[in-house]
Amino acid sequence: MSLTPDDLRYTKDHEWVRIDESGIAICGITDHAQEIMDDIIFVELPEPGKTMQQKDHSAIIESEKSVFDVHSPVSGKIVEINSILEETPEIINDDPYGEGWLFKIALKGKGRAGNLLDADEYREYLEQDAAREEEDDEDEEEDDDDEYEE
Amino acid sequence: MTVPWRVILDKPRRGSLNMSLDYGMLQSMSQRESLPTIRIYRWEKPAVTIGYFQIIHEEVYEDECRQEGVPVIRRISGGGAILHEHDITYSIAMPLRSKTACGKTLDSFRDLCEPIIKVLQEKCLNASYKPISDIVIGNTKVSGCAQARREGALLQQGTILLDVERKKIARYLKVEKDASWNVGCLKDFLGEIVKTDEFINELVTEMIASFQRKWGIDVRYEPFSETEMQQAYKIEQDIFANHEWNENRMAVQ
Repeated sequence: MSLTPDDLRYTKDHEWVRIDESGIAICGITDHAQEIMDDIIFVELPEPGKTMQQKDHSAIIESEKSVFDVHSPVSGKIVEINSILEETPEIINDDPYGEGWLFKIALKGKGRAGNLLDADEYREYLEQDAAREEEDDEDEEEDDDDEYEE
Repeated sequence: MTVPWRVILDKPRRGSLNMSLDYGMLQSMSQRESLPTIRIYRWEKPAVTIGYFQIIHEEVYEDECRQEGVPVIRRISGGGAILHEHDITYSIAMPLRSKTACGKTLDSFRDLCEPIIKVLQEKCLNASYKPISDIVIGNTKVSGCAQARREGALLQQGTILLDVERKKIARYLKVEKDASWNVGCLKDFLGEIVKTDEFINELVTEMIASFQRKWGIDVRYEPFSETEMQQAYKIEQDIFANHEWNENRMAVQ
């Protein structure tokens, strides 16, 4: 099961946020996201100083010949990016909530952080997704059985 | 329960427009403005496409391409450089929340390659999936693909190589740096027949049928709408025919 630290907030697009006392939001992708991606080989980070609205396209990650968009989980201004990822992107796989952070945002007001999911809500969201997959598997098996009976 | 999909059997187009139409499919899917779509297409003239993160001068002999009128276009998807000429290219746009797309990336590649593998196996070819995203016959790669995922949608772009001109590939692509590079084509196994209209039409028909069986889908055959074409021309101008994008990889907005 994917790690989901209790002290973070989350999006349904599998980004996480940690907001410090000074109103700086540290952002990254969740353990679930890096598991889906498998081995990350390239990262493109936003430019410091860029203004982001929540859900704006912010970073791009490539793994296993697949390119993934990362969205800004909050609104504000990019104040710092994790430059070491450009040389060692695999850190995101190894430590998505620690050394694998992507960028930091100075919140604009509350940065719309109030509509993020807490850890329980995010875990529930992941469980619902997993349950939907199982239902799809069962539907597929039923369809296969029907085909056999015909 | 069957889910309707759209199938576009497109005409050969220039490389930058091909990429623009694929990108439009991804955008439409992400904005829920379109049904899931399978597009089959070819190339008006030879073109090179490179993966999103590739550095063009590391992958391509730019002077040769320029002198011989071979455009080099950066894809929105990952992966490596490809010379498009004698290939059938396909693109698939589907929701990320679909069963195929919502799991691990490797699993989605395996899942999306499976219908094509079955078609080749039915032609008595020893086709199989080779991770990450290749279809091989024996040890020879005959098909590759790559993905882009954004805004809740997945786009897979793939090629099936009918024929390859290895001297031309070596002239345009810096393939010598990849010691494992070993690309073949269907002609190696089935002969010149693979370049006939009859074979190609049959292959495409069988591919669509195979996708239908895989996902239990109904399909409707449609061309791109006029609106989609106009959007694609705009995308082409802004992105895939844009020197800055192809050379330096501007972030796509």
